[in-house]
Amino acid sequence: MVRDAGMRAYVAGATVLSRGMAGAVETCPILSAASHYDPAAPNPEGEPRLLDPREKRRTTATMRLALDVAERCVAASGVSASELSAVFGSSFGDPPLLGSLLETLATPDARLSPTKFHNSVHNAALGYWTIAAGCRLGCTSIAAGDHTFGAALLRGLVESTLDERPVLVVVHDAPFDPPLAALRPVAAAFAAAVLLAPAAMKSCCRIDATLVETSTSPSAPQNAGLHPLWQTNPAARSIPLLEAIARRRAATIDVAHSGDGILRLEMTPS
Amino acid sequence: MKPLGITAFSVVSAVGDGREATLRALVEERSGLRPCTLDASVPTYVGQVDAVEDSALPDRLAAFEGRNARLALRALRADRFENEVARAVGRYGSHRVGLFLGTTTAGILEGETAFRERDPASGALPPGFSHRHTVDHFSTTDVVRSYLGLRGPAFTVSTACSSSAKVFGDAAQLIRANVCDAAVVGGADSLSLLTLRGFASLELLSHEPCRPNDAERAGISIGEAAAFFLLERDDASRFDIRLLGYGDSCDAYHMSSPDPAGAGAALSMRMALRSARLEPGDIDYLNLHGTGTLANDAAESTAVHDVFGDAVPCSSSKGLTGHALGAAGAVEAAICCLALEHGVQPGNANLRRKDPSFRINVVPHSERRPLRRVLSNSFGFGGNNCTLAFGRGA
Repeated sequence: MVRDAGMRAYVAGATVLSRGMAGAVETCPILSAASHYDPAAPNPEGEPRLLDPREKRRTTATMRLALDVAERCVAASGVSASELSAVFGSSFGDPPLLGSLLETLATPDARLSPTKFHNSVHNAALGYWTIAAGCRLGCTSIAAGDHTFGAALLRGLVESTLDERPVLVVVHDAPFDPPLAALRPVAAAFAAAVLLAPAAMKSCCRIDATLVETSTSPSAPQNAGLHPLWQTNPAARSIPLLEAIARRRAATIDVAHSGDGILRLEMTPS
Repeated sequence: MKPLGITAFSVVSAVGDGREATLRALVEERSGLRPCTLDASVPTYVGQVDAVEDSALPDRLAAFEGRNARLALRALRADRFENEVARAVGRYGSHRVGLFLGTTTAGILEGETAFRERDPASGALPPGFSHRHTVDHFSTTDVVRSYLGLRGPAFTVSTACSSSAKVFGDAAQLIRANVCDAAVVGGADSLSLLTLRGFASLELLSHEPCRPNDAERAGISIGEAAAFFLLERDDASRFDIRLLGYGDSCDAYHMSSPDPAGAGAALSMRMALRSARLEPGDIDYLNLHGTGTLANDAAESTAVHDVFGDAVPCSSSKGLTGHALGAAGAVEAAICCLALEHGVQPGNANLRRKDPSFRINVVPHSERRPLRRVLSNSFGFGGNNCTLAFGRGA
């Protein structure tokens, strides 16, 4: 049963940064043609260019990955980064930073670094993004456990549809260091950005989305080699959508969101 | 936006459990701030909630055991809030009620304890510790979701100290998109070593109970709190208080310092006014973010003057509750709703002499006065701003 009015947005850009995947999803063979995925490939370093070098020195690797994937997505779209509202989604925030802060706090009287403390907020990556982009629009940072991608996408789709404006959805998650790594195993760092746009913008495909009450399982990656990444990294739950964008074929993608049922995406190439 | 009815709300903070205790503290200007005992190395005052330890979780939620979960559930039980949610679930169905909560640190305190109790040989964390159920930012929303039996869209918003104000906007959008028929919003944040030592490292902690907007203000007093609201379409409202609008913006300036010109803050207030279809002159009272730091209060007063001039009565309530960080937006929304409901204009606790450079109308003491339209500001690290507009009557 479907009761929402339906959400419609156009994909004006989609980028990825992870092992063996860097840049536009359409030119990424692992996503577009299910080419061999090497889980031992080196982790890409995020190299954001918009941020002032003084600010950039304060960022962590996790943040730089998110900033870089967002920059690449916006650069390819031809829209000014300052004119986009942004929804950042991350289940874990900044795992190495969390571990380091908890180590310090376990040491009696050890002083915290002020930079590490202000970087510890969940919206740190978003904060640096708005500074880099010169964006004063309302932007948000959300977490919904394993379903963070579905929640961030739903939030972005609703905003883009209702306000008829472009919304940048960025998801990123990274592995923990020991000892937390034993509790929350994550195969590899993964960041993706999807620029949702109203009809007037140049786009590669259209998404018609509805919440559907069903017990259907969410769509899994076409590329079987990506399953461990998709299963363990909440940001990588975006892979089935990214594959559908990369393949430029009509498709139905079911995404788990944080509520019952699924977020069903009818993808139509434009 | 089309106004949303606030059909129930509850609040627990250092000034007391529930709406009645909170209202009494507002009227009597009774501060809940006292010397911090959590960390002897940090000489400051905090707004600590009494006996959070005694608010047990039901057995089925034992995995979520921790201070923030206990604080959140305590606020769900206060003011019979959970009963009102059960009524909404009966009316709309559990999958049609959304849940959007703000928190900055969720159950970080349990992570801090677990790291102190690591196995000295292997470094392993103690066997009972679950990151997913405590430190994870979603854990607070997850435990509330399980407790209330909600099955609609649910997520945590974590934009530092604007978190639990932003969630009102999320609910408004998802209800407008007909993704939900109603939503529970709010937030919970509890005291932790991370925030105490973190704000100490930034030299932003006051050595005395915080004095927002005072000429001699010396920083913040951290508080802990939880507050929840049930939002429904206005036609379903049985309550007189409404969310009229919201605005949000970013400073695009600095990670932990506000833009001294207050441009982002002013934009947030203007957007809230536009969303509520109100003019500055329509606002009877403004609850300031008013943390008590030199930079925040100065930037906010500049922004408020820019939008309102010096006319609108405004105050910070953080001298009563402390700064509840990710829960501050929800606590101050509750204070605004109490102010509207009972005709009490909240004073600015601990104010002795207003900063002479502030060209705004800071009201020192609480007074009885009918209020119809009020605003609440919440600003956070990362330059993340949010303003909410509430109203009473038609």
